[in-house]
Amino acid sequence: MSMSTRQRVQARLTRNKVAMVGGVYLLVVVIVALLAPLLAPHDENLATRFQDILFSPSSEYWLGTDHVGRDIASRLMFGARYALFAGAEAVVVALAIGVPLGLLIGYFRGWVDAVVMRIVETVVAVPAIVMAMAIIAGLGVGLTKAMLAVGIVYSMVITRLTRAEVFAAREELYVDGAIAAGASSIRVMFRHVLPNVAPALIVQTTLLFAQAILAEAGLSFLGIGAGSDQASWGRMLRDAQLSIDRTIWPAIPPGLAVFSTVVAFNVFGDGLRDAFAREARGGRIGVGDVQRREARPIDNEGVPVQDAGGSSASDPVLTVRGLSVAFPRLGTDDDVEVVSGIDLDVGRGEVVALVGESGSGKSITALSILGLVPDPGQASASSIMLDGSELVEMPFEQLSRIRGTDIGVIFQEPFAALNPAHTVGRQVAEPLRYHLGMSRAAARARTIELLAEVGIPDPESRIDAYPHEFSGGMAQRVVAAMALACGPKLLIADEPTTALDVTVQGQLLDLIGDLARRRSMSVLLITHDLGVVADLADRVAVMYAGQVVETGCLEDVFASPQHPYTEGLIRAIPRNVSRSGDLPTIPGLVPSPWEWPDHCHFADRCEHVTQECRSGAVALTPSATGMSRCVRAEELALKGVREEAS
Amino acid sequence: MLRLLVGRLAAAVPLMFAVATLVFFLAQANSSDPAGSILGLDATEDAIDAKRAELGIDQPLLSQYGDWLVDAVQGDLGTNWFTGEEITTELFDRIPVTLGLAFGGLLLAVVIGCSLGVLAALKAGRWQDRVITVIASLGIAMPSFWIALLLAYYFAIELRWLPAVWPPGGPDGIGEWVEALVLPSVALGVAASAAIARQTRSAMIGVLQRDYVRTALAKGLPVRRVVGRHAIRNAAIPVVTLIGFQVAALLGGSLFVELIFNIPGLGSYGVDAIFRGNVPALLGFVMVIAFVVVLVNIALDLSYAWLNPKVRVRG
Amino acid sequence: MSLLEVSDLSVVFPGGRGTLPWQRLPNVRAVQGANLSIRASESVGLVGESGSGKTTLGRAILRLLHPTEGTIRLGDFDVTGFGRRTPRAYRKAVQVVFQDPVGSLNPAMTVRDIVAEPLRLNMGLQDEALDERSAELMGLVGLEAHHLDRYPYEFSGGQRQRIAIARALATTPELLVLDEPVSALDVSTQSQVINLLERLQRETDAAYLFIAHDLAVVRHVCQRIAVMYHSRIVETGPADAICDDPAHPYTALLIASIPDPDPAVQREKTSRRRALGRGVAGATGAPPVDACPFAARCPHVMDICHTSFPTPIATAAGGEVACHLHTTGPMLGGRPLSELDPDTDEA
Repeated sequence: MSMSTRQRVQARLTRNKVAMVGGVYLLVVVIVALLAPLLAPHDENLATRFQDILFSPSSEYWLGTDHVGRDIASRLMFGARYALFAGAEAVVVALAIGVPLGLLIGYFRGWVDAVVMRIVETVVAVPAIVMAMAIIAGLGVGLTKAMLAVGIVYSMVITRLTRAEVFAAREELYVDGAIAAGASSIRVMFRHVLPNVAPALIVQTTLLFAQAILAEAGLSFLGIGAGSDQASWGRMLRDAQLSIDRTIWPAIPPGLAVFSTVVAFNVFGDGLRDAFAREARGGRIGVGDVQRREARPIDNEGVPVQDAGGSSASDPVLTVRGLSVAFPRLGTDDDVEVVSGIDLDVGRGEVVALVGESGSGKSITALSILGLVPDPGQASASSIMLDGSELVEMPFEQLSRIRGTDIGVIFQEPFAALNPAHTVGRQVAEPLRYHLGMSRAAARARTIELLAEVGIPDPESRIDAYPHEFSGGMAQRVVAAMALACGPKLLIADEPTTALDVTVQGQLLDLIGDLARRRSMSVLLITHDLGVVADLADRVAVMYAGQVVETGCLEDVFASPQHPYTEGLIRAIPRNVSRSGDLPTIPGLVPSPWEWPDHCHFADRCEHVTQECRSGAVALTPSATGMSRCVRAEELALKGVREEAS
Repeated sequence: MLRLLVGRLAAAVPLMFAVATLVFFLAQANSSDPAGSILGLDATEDAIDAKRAELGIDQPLLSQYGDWLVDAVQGDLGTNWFTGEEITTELFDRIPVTLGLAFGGLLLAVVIGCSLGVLAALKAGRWQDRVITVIASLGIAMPSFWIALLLAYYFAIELRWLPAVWPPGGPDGIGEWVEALVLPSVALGVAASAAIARQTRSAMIGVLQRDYVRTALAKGLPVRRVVGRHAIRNAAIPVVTLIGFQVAALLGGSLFVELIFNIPGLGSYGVDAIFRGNVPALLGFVMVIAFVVVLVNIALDLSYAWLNPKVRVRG
Repeated sequence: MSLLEVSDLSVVFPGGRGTLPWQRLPNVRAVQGANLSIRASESVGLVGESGSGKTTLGRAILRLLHPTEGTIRLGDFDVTGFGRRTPRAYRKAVQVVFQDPVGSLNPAMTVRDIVAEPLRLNMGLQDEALDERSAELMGLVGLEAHHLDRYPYEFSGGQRQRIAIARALATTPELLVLDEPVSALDVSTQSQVINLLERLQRETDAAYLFIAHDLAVVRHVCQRIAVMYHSRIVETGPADAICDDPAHPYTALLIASIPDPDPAVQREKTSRRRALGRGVAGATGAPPVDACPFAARCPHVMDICHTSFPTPIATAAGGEVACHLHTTGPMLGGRPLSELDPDTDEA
């Protein structure tokens, strides 16, 4: 089912209850404004009886009367007209000036852009209401002129927004693609840029409408907007001020009217903004707050755990049993498992690689071990043991201590992993100070040693530098120093070289390998790159669609894989060898978590598939070289790296 | 840091010049004759001509502009057509009150807005967050003059806790001064608090999703430390930007609040000037407001440099 | 007779504004003195790390930016001589596929609009002819005609890349610029797209400029390869010669740095890469004007490397190399680097 952007936005907006209430309220305001002459029980400008001054609400005067005896309810209904008219005028003026101007200067830039932006800066340097007053001083007093002035001031906001959005859209690759496809500037601007700028403009227009209604009320309150014969809400508030020493009542209805209309516009605008938010950007499920969710032991999908995840480690530092992670599926009430029943061992001083494509669940597995699964996610495991301590259901404070001291982590993006606001020295020293209680001076001295250990030249002076002063490779070394600070037993390296250039990658891999050897530290390496695995790992666990499908020693797994997926991965990599014929591929696509079958997850893409593969869940069982989650592991003669190379 | 300050000050000069030019010509567009309105209905032609010459408005517009600009650069904003006083002096007398008012409102807004925003972000999606989000959306929709009216009625007229109007002859001593500014500041600060709370909440939620927060947690730091050391400072950058806008909004709001509480500040001066078509006074008023806004923004730019080391190095 | 001829091309980006109003940041030399030629129906790889200038060179050919110096010719087109407007015929002849399959398709358009845009604009196709050709293009890239009425968000990364390829092939271009077309894809999808590109080249006879950071991927698609480092093209040559026996020390380092899944091969590569890499990895700062940009990292560096950029000379394999080792010092004279010292590998 294909839906256009508009259909999708409409669907999502109608699901947003608050926004819909706002929208319905606005509809009511519009209807009241249109039908004011029919609905109003009294004249809005003349008192019905001159002695009926400051009456309380009654059946005759629904909302009472003001200080000269005019019916407040009637004035309120006509006030809706003035409010909407004034808002519309200001917004139309703002859009009519701002959008074309913003598109023009945003797209063509150059000196016109420079001049216009200086004017915009000038106007916004003065408070909007003051600027509007300066313009009113020139135009003269009155509602239409006042709102024209307000519209001119707001047009600067629209110009600036449009320009910024056009700048951003201009950088999009699809704009380059359209130019390369031969689209003219006009076509690019209206066909490619404007539709993608429109959401921001629509949202801003809604919010500006609310601002304009506030401005109308304000200017009329000051007496430079609506005249004495115009029953605007601002005018009513101005009149109410005259009798404030006797009663506050006449100020309540118009105040609430302004307030509620503005709230309605705002919530509707916010709803629009949420509805327009683009999907498929990153696809990350947001972290709500920094809270830990307790892991709870569960059964491992009814599949018996035969052995410790194919581990040959006699002295494991890390053992994971039955780890599963589930996320609520967007748009449904269901939870969907993204990792199901992982068993994993890492021996002392051993480098274990967890290999898989994106969506295989390898990174989430690593975060689960740390107790850092992003918010709506639910991790559960029957056991996660780190060097004799059970991490499952460990209190947060205690787990924090272990995270900081016994486990070190290197993430993919070094610049994202470092806080841009602090010096690298401070960030490396932080765990030393916090966990080991070192003095400032001792922590600094140790930090310099650590920076030297990870190969940062001239650490004495670099310690006071900020992350952005480093290259990517150097920044990743800083992250490594931070991970090593408290002498961890286990280093978790999540795609540590993926963001780096290939010639830098090698140096980082050497560093991690050296550190592991020198410190007898275990490493859990998470990567999609089989070459990186071959460089660094002692043992491998291959993940596919949330499951470990094969484990074993590096040499064995790569030389004679025991699972068709492993074989497929190994053969699909373009290696630096000459080749004839097509590059071997794995047909089809990695299935999304909610598409995972109950039987073998790889069955639909496997060339060796049989009936048996689809008859039920497949367990990870001992194979010729380690463990494999394939019912045909023994009978298949799968090809490894050597056959491919020859 | 000094270079940054110099750079920002240097950039402020053409901006102030542009504001002056823009407002000067905007205000002149109205063709009503000030000399007539000053002297009243029974003034003779000769008297009006003499007044026009005295005011300098018989000169060509460009030469008026030149004269005004030359004086303004020297700090002389001209003479008030109606009171005959130096406009610079008049404005200077009124600056402390308005600044006190705006500062009160800002202090309130920053303290309340930031705390509520941080709390909402830490409890994102829970009832605390929902309550704060609702309060904030309501807060930004309240016109400051309406709040001022309500406050004046309940706290000054009904309960008589605080003065409803500026004491005649000015407040006596700092205590009375503060007392007179409490209600107006609260009226001003409500919308700003709400806006800051919203911005703080979204900035904090954004920062809490960043990798460096995950790194800090992975280092085993407790949540309080992660928030305090790693999140707040980075979340502050967009909040500071918003505070810049809010200062302008507060000064704009002071117009209404000063009118309601009868405070002799810049705002009431500006409103009076526009009613009377008092062009030099209006010009002076706008220039002073723009000057304050520009200064505040320079101060905020400097705080960016502290918050964001990248800006510092480029400076 | 070459189809594309890039001569002495330089692209300099003006520096931005500094903090002070009169301050200007230094200009950035993204590409310096680049020479590159592509014959009709040939596929040439342009390999380099981030910041090497390879994408900038591609964008200059696509007329998405204006080069500062040098000339680009494509067949009879004097590309650098074009005025503000780019002739339709040139747009028709040169098409592009970008790296990011998410960002390169307009989210507000259907696949039909996306694929049909170049057909409408450059071929003047309409109505049925347009639908027919669009469906045909979908079939060509392994998608189906009913996919035309969907939106980009409904497709996976690999499928989006197929859509981008379909659009690029719509006008049967003579040259296809592929800017990292597979690097955002997973391994299993990547090999599918590589096979597709190879098949399409056989079928359409388009020439490819395949820009990528992964030399191994490029080797699989291209007949010839040009290696860029920090704004300069340092070596060109036949793909097999470049990948098996390079003449430039940077190319040698690059090859040794590509990890191989065979643990035995990788052990050997690791020791080679340690010998070849020197100093701090990563090209940072502004590229030098009168020096070899690789001098700071080169294990064979000589004094002259810091003072002049070497003039490219022909290699024995039939390409060109810009390295002083070939004209001074060991005087390799275009022979592969492996002749320099067979023991370097183990050093």
